[in-house]
Amino acid sequence: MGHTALAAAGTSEPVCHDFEFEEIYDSYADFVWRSIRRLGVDEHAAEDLLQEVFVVVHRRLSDFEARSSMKTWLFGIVLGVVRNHRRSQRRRRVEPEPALVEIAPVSERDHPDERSARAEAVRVLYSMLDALDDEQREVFVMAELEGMQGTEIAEATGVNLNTVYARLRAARREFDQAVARMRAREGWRSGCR
Amino acid sequence: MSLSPESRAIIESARGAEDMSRSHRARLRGRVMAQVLTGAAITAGTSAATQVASAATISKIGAALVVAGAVGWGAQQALEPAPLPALGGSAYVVERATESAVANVQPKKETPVPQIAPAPPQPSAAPTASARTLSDEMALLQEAQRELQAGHADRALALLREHEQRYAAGTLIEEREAARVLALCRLGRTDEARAAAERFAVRFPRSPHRARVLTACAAR
Repeated sequence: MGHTALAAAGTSEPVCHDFEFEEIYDSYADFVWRSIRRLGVDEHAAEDLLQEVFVVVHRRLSDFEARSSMKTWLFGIVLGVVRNHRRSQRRRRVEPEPALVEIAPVSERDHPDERSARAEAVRVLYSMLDALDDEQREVFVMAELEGMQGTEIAEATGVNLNTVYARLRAARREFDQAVARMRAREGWRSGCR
Repeated sequence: MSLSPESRAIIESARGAEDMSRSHRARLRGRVMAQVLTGAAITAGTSAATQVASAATISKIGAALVVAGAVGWGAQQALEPAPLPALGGSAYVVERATESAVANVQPKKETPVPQIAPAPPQPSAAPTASARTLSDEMALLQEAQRELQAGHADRALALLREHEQRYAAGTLIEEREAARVLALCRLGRTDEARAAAERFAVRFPRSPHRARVLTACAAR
């Protein structure tokens, strides 16, 4: 477990900090967030899942061994939490949970002029990822979006290297096809096919 | 087989655009630290973290959401006086955590009713200072929210000022500033409200409260 220290930080009351954990949060919160989102979790649920991931991280920090990279270790935890979430979504077959906290992109349509190009780029990427099945998607996100090595992916997903590469090949094919389909639709819409 | 150049371009153009906004990251950080610091002692050996988090923790998270919901409520009330909706979409955690408390959301005129039931005592896991600070911060903001709901915008504004002094670098600055705009509108201090709303929009360009804040006075 991370070392805990007392810091008086200008107040009379000592404040407890778990510096190691906080450092990990600050360094990897964005990585965890985008990984969860890239795996197809909507923005509202992603907040809860990020929280779950870091609760697990906090609990298991003492088990972390430097033989794997922090990123690989974290992605393994992300995968566990996201897979659980998918299972419970499937089991319940209900509408997505009501909004916990509204997050900015919900209002994107109200402000189409702002941040639109970047938000649109993300939207397009995620809709292409939606074309992949869950297993392909996991491998694709790690390999193509995070630049992780085959062995790291094998470790995080718990499948062997050959399977990783087979899924990656299939995922690339699906992604390319999804992009081609999107372009075809665009061309059809604008009448210049 | 590798990816087509076009697929590669789609990936590259989204790079860096997926990260959280600074305020979003800070807000989530507050939630995570509160949960970890208060919940860590009792979560050992369980898998679904949110299910085993202490009721105290969930209440705190719920409190943050009630605050977020209240801002929305204020705006809605500006449009038409209506009974307090069941905290809108924000009540999800609260409902799960403290169902009985949600029945109490309608505050009485003069005696503020706590919207969140006091957390059940946690014999083993005393909240640490960080978590206490966050819950204190939320409590103050909730008080301001109750005053606003009760039509006491001046009292709400005073509490918001107190919040500003005590939590200059707090977790709920965005919520405080949104509430301030609503309070100013209520008081008919429209020019100040508009100026505050513009500052808000600049400071929190991705805020979920943005639209409500910018239209708060117009709706009156």
